[in-house]
Amino acid sequence: MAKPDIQGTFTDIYTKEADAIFRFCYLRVSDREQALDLAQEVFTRLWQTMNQEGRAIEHPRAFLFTIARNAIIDWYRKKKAVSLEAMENDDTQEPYEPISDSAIADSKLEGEGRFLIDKISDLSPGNKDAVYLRFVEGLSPPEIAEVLKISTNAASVRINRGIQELRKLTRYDIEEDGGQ
Amino acid sequence: MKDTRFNKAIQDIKKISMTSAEKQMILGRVLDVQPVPARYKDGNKYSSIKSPWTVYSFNMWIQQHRWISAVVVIAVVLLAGNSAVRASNDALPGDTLYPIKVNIVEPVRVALAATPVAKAEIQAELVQKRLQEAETLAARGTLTDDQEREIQQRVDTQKIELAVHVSEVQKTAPEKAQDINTTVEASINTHERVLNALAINRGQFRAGRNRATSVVKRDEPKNTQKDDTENVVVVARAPNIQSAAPVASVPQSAQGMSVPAAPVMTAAAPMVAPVTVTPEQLAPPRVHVVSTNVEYQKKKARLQSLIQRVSAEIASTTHSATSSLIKQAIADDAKSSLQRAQDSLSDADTHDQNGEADQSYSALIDSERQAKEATLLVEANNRLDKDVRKQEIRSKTTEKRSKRGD
Repeated sequence: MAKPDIQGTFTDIYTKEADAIFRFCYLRVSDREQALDLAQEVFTRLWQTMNQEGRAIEHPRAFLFTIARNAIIDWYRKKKAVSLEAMENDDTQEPYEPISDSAIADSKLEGEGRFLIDKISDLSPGNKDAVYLRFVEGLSPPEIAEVLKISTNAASVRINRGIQELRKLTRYDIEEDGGQ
Repeated sequence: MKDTRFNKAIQDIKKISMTSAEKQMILGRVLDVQPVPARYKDGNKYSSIKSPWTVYSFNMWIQQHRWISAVVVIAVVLLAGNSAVRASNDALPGDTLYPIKVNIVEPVRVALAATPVAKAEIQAELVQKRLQEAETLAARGTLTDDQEREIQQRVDTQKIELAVHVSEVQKTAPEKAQDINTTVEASINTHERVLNALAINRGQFRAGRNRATSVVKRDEPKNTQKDDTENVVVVARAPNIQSAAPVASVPQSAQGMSVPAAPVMTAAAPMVAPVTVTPEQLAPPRVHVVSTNVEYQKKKARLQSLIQRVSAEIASTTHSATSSLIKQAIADDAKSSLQRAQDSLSDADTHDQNGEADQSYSALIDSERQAKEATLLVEANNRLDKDVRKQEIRSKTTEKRSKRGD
C-alpha cells in the first residue's frame, strides 16, 4: 500500500468527522482556539497511527472520540491544577465540566438547541456523554462503549437512563432508539 | 410533536462547526507532521515506540522464549532436588538434611523397589545404616541423648517393617529370607562390638586430647570410658532382644550370639552383659530349607572363599603403619569372628557326615553369620577410621585458624 492511499483515506475521514470532533471539544472547553488546537491534536494522532499500522482503523469515529475525550480530560487536569477551589469539588465520574456555559453563549446557539444542550449538561455524569454521542453525533452503542471504555450493555443502559432523565427535564418525547 | 422539537434541537447543535478556512488550515497542519515510523509490530495495538533497552531485559527474553524458559526451570528444580538427595546421603542425626534422608529418600527407595525381596533387602540395608550412623557419631564423640532416641525409634520402626516384608519373602523364597535375616543379625551383633571397641578407645582419646565431648553423664559406677557410647550401647542392646523375634533363631545359636560379646570387654565389661534371649521371646524356630547336597556344597564353597578373603583383608589392615588402637581392637575381633566361622564350618561338615541334616544346616548358617560379622567389622573399622581422620583434619584446620586470629 503506497503512502498516498493512507493519506486519501485519512483525508476522507477528516472531511467527514472534523466538525463533530470540533463541536465535541468546543462545547467542553470554553475557548474556540483551544477547541481547534485539540481537534488538530486528535487528528494528528490519527494520522500517526494510520501511518504506523499501515492500514485503516476499524472504527475511526470511536477512535477519534476516545482521543478527543482523553485530550479534554488532560487539558482540564492541567487547568484545574491552577485553580484551587475547583479541586475541592472533585467529581469522580467526570473529571471535567462537560458542557461549558461560555461556549454555549459564544456559539450563538439559540432556541431549541441551546435549551437541549443546557439540559444535557444537567444530566448525571455517567450519562451525559453517552446521550450526547448517541443523539448529537449518532454513534452506535458499541462505538460509545469503546469510547467510554465500558461494555456495550453498560453503554445501552447509560443511554436509556440518560433518555429518561432528559425526558423529565425537557418534556420532550424522545424515542429510545433513534434509528441509526 | 415534541419529537420534532427534539430533532430540531439536535440540528441546531450540529450547526456548531469549523469554518472551511479553519478546516483547511488544520488539515494542512496535520499532514505536515512527519509521521513517526512504526518500530514495534507484534500484533498489539501499540502506537508508542518500543524502548531500545528491552534488548537487555531478562523478562523480555523469557517472554519470547517461553518453552526454553520452562525447560530451564524444570531442570533447575530437578537438579536442586537431586543435589539435596545426594548430599543427604551422608547426613547424620542432627544434620539439616537428615530428615530428607530418612523421611523422603529412603521411603521412596523402598516404595520403588519392585519385588518384596528387593524391598526387604533395602530395608535391611536401612537398619544397618541406622546403626552405622550411631557408630559414626559415637566414634566422633558427639552422640547426644536425643539423637540416640531418634535412632532408636527409627531402628524399631524399620525392623517392624522389615519383619513384615521378610515374612512375605519367606513364602516365596525362603533362602533369600534366611539370607536377609543372617545379614541383619550379623550387623546388629557387630554393631555392639564396634561400640565396645569405641568405648575402650574413648579412654585413650580423651586423655590424649583433653577435648570436651558432649557427654550425658549417667549415674553409673564411675568409669570414664563409659560416657556416650553407653547410650549407644543401650540402643544396640535393646533392639537386639526385640530383633530376636523377626530374626528367628534357635536357642542353640543364641548361645553363639552371646559369646562374641565377651572377648572385647575389659573395662567396659559391666555394660555389655551377655544378651539373654529367653525362649518365649523367640519366634517360631528357624525355618530351614531342605537343602540338597549340591546346594550345600555350593554354600560351603562360597563361605570358604569369603573367609579367605576377609582374613587377607584383616592381615593387610594390621600391617598398615598407621594402625591405631581402635583399628587393632576391631581387627582382633574380626579375626576371632573369622575363626568361629571356620569352626562352625567344620561343625557343619561333621553333622553332615553324621547325616544330621538339620544341625549341619544350622551350623552352616552360623558360620555364614559369623563370616559376615567379620566382614562387617572390617568394613566398620575402615569406615570409622576414615571418618575420625576427617574430623581430625577438620578440627586441626579450625585450630590453626583460631590461632591465626581469623
